Amino acid sequence: MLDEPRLDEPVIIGVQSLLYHTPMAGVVRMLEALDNSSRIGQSEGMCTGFVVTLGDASSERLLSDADLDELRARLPHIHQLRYHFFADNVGTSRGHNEMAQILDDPDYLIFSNPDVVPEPRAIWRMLAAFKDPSVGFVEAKQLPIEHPKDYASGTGFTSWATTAFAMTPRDLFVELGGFDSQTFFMYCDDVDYSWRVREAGKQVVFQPAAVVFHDKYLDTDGRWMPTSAEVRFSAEAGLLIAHKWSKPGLVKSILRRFESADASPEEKAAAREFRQREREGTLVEQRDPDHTIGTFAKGRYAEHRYSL
Amino acid sequence: MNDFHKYDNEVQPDNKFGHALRLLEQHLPADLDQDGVHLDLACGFGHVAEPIKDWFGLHYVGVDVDELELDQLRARGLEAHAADLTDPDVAERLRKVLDGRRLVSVTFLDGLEHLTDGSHALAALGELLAEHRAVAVTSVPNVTHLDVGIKTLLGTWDYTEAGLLDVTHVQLYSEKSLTAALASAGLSRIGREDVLLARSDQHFPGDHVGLSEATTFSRYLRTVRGDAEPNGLVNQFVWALTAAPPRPAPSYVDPRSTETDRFLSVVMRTQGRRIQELREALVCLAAQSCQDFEVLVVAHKTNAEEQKAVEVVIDDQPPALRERIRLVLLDHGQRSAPINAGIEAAAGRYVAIFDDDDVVMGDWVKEFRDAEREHGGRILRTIAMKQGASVDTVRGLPGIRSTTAPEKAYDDDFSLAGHLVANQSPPIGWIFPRSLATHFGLAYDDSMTTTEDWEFLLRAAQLAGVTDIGRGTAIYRWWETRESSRTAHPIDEWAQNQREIERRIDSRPFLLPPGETRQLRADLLELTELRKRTRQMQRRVTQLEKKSAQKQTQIRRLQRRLRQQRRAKAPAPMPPTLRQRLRPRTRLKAMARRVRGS
Repeated sequence: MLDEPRLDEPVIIGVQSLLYHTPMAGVVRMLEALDNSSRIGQSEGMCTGFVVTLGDASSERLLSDADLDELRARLPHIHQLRYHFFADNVGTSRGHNEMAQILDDPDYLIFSNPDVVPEPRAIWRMLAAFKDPSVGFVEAKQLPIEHPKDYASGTGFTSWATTAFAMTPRDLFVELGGFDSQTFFMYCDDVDYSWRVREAGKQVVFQPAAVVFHDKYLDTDGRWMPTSAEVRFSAEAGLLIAHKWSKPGLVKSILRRFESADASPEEKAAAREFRQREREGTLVEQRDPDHTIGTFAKGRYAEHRYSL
Repeated sequence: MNDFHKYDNEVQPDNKFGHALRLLEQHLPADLDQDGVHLDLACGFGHVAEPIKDWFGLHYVGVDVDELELDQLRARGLEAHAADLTDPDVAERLRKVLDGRRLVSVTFLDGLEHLTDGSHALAALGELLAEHRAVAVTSVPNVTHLDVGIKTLLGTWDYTEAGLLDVTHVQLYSEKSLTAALASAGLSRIGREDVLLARSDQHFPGDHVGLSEATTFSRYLRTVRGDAEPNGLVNQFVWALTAAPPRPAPSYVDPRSTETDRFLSVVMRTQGRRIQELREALVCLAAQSCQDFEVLVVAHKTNAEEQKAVEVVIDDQPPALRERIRLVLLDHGQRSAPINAGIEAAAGRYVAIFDDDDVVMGDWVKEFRDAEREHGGRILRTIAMKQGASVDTVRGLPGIRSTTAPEKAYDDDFSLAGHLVANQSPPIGWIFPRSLATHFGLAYDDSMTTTEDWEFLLRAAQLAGVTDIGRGTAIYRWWETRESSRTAHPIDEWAQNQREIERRIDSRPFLLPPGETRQLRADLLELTELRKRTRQMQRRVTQLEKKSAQKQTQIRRLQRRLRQQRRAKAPAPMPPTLRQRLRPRTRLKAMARRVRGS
């Protein structure tokens, strides 16, 4: 047993991950890593229960009942492996909200990308941050490419946490109404949740000692290569969050760019979606009019240490 | 020293007989039983009979299949018996020859290679040595002598009447195959006095360019062979043997037994002081899309606490990875020793050197394995990025903080000639076939305090060639505040090691892969052109300097003339006025008085 900070009482951990035509090899690697984390947590008295929920937003079931039985047999330290087939591409916000409603026994929820492999101690180091009652949301550091947003040495306080792998108390998640699925399909739902956590007087923490592997592809110059879908939904989410967190000037400027002749097809699609919501009156109420919470810095939601 | 001159001319201090006798002298028990027997298997003429009797006081018994030679022995008053050493019952036959007498020693000199099946003779030898606690000396020609090897490489195989390729030899031995045959028969080597010959009886014709020690081709082969295996100049293996538990094995090699299913061995050296980095390195491996690898964590000079910390990290790993991790403890050597220990313990076809602070992408192994399909045997290289990092403690837990974006800092394409100037390949970006270590004897040089990977790469790349995969799959961390090999060694030391690499490269022929000469030619042409231009420029500069000097002279002359003219025209100097002569202080006082007065 390592001499590391930990909560006074053991807890129940719930991990939820949304699948969308995800290659199963990566999902199995994640589950094996979670099973191993649970083994450590239980053997060292840090958890009494470890529940994993897989929400499947693919057009067809990725896992049959037989596959699930086989997985459950292989993963003895995961007390419950739940599988929910949405039969619809629900997006991350709605998907996570619905998964969180399936079970009410976890004390802490972890939102995990399905291709993430947590380091064996990552979950327990994230959990330890909640010894501080002011902490509401904790993010693990991603490898091989660390997210460049800035955080405070010592406290780890940061602007927002990415749900590639992040942990929040379930009670707080329920109290805040979960992710804003009305606004965000994917992307920026985590930024928005982080800011609402901070709006509620809690802190968001980046813990670099808690590490997860979340693969990224770099080009030969070391730049990240996002997919077309990532560009599309990222652009849309960028508009919506600027609107929600009271940045009309920024919305105008983004729309001008996305509606110009030089805009990419993904950017044009994002602008069309925003205009449609505007017309239909489905944009949510704006908040943080004094800009005490939200950070908009050169198209990012925190100051960055470097550009990728 | 024993006197060889009184014996048969064949017995000389520097030949197999002399070496065999020296080995016997070293390994016979000090309190020799005078009634002890020495068996000389395949004795032939019995060249060593008299020295055996005279030096060791043993009773000589010759054994051979050739009755004529046995009669000659008997005529010399020696005991001699006929026995077929290929007979499966040869052990029993030899027991009958001994007839209850105590066997002290055996010689079996240049006999094994004449037997179509030597296994019975060796098994009998093993049994007798075990029964009598005796020692034996055997000599066997080395078919892998450089002279044979080079000629074979060039398509020549010359049987001779006697010697290394004696036309009557029916089994041929290398050190490895002889060791295996002996082990199978329950024999173990306890000493060796091999006969070395720089020029063996196969060193012909005399003008053979491949055989000459002076030619580039021969020097290259000799240096490569010298790294790979030390017996290039051994003419005959002369070994002292004792009985050991037999390790039965066929007398041939099953090619399938030399294959390995494992693709990659990841050698990770750690001092147990960068535990968080080790955790990060291992999670990168746990997440690989291709899991066809093993990990050898070499804990180097760790104390109990550091070792425990490493063990905890390994125990923490998911079972599927943990069962492929082996912990190797090493308490000696410098920076390269743990790498070499890891390579020695490795079982994969390829080896990666993964420092415990490196980071790799999820397809790091897969990219290499895909490349192996077409380029197996070559060094496989991806592009490694460089990223600044520092240690940052958050809520009491030390973590790693990236301080810069990953950036391209090394050449995309490998050039061996280019690497003579600077290393463009951090170890995390390339893997090498383990065969370079097992078959070519390559190892990291532990005497080098830095740049050991560069030196290894230069040697390895010559032999194997390099295939560029062209993908960025690894990150080499650049520590900004903490100690690393970059900061732990002064610049002078790095420069000194670079000079040592250059010295070594210059000391032996250097092999370039196809295509490299094109770049060298282009560079040399450019250099020649630049030198030509430099010479032209220098000439121009010289001309201009000359012109400038002439002008300077002219200017000085004109200035001198001007001064002379001015002196000639100038009026006589006026004496200084009273005011000029007054001291400045006096003038100031006078001025002050005037001011006050006004």
